[in-house]
Amino acid sequence: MEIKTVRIPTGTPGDIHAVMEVSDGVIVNAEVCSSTTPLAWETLVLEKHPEFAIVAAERVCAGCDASAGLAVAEAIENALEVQVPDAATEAREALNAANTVRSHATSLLKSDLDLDADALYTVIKAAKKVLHALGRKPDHPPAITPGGLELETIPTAKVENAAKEALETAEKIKDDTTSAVDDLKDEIQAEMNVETYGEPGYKADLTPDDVEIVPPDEFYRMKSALELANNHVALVDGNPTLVGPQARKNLTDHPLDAYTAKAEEIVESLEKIAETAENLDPNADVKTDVEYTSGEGHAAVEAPEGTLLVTIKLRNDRVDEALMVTPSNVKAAVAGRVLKDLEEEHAPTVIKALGLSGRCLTH
Amino acid sequence: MKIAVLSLMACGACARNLEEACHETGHEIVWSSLDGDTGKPDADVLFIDGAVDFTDHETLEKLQETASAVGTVVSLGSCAATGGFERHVIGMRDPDRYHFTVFPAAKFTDTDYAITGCPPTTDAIAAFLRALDERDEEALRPYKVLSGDYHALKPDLPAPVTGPELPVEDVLLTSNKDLCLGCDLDVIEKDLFCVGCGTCSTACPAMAIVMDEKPVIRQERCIRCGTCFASCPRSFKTTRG
Repeated sequence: MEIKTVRIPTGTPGDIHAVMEVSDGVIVNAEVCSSTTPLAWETLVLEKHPEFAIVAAERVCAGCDASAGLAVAEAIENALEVQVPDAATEAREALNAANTVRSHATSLLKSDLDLDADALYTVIKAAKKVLHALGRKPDHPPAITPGGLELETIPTAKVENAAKEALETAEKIKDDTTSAVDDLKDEIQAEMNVETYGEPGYKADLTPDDVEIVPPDEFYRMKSALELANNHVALVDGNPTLVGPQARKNLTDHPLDAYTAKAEEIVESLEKIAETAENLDPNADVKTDVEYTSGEGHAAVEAPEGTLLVTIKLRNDRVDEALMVTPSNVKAAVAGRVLKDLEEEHAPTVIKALGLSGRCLTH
Repeated sequence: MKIAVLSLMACGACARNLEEACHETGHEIVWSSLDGDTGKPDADVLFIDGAVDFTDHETLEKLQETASAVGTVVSLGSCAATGGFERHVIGMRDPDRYHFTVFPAAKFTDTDYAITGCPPTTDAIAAFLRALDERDEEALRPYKVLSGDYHALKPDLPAPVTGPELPVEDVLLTSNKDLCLGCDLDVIEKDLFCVGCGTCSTACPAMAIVMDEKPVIRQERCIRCGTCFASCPRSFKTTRG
């Protein structure tokens, strides 16, 4: 039996390490952790204005930036019992869907699959147009604010056209991805016997009571690798649980099905954006005035890489306490199980498919 | 041009936009730490994405080794150029043990250019790549100016400058909440250089500037990225202090 600590390049910011017990080239036990310096979102937002908590959350990791901002905004609204206009909720759903398209297409570009880069950049451009239109910028969309969105009008035609124009390309990406994943699955024999959490759509009903946050496994300390582990892991209902596109699409036969699920979600998200834009009144009210008082609220959003839970406690216009549970916090708990019984050489490909980001994991 | 990317303490948006810009302009990324590349890159230009924790010796060595191997080094985004968001997080409150030690990457290695922004847009990066490709010195000048000590810049105008002239780290360690740490907008505004054009407000990636004839900074949204300073049509009439 040999113990190995391997850095796994995932194409995402931060470091991901797999600490593995390997016997005859097969992984018999493994944990996944990150050495990335924490941004420490929970502490850096303390005593700051709630709007800063949104701006800061969007800068944890670019992969799920808009979704993180939306989750914080909704937690603030729940804490203050603010009712957001229906049109704002619809527009936010489209914004989240655009974030999913961009994130998934970028992930497919970084994957070990041989896919058409031009096609992927075509859908990325479409997603950026939607993010720009609804979020006022294509990155870290600043229009997200407590009470709705900072928009004078909703540019529905621009959003609808951008989504529709990319749909044909997205269908091609889906077919290409399915085929490429099938080919790669022939090379990599793997199974996933894991619990899942996640529903198609925008909001999730995960609550802080459902989640247990635990320090890195004793395994790290036993192997003197604790200095690598700047992260915690989260269990859902006491179990390591898979979140993200695979869980939402219920495609959990093989870890590489994550890519198939992502390609499917790109198509569905573009359809959702087009449908939402078609039904939205461009002049609808998308912002409610917010009066900052005290309160505690939580919100869960289906971010591109999985369910993202935020709890926030406000004291007047300041953040008193905050907690963020990211998709990588939850997926790290399950990653070790997915690696078990896998041939060691395939570990990087499988971990990359799970969509972990070191920055997300330590936030 | 062959391009290398070194990602440090960053959210990844800058590197992602660089990849998109390279695809658009036909440049090839031959080496990227995000994809697991190590050692000295065989590249023409290195883009550094993110800030550095100076207690992280492994990263510092990696930064210096990588930068020394490439002819042209560019700070990509505000975290690399000024510390930006990564460093700012200590600015308005007592530092915690991590952020107290965070500095812009440009403090630890010589850089030739800086592209500010949080993140710089794909279009902004593409414009820089075109200027670099064509060796258009006039177009490259703003990027060159910003690669130096940001806070040692003085507007090249006869009026006196009363804004902060301290080195970045000194300003941050004083935790003076009244100073605009990253963008120098206060300098421009205070000395009546501002013409109220609103370019800074439009450029701000966090919608932290509203116009009331002159720019008004919503401090609760400001991330000290410096995009306003970089975009201001008056700020580049500058010389080094």
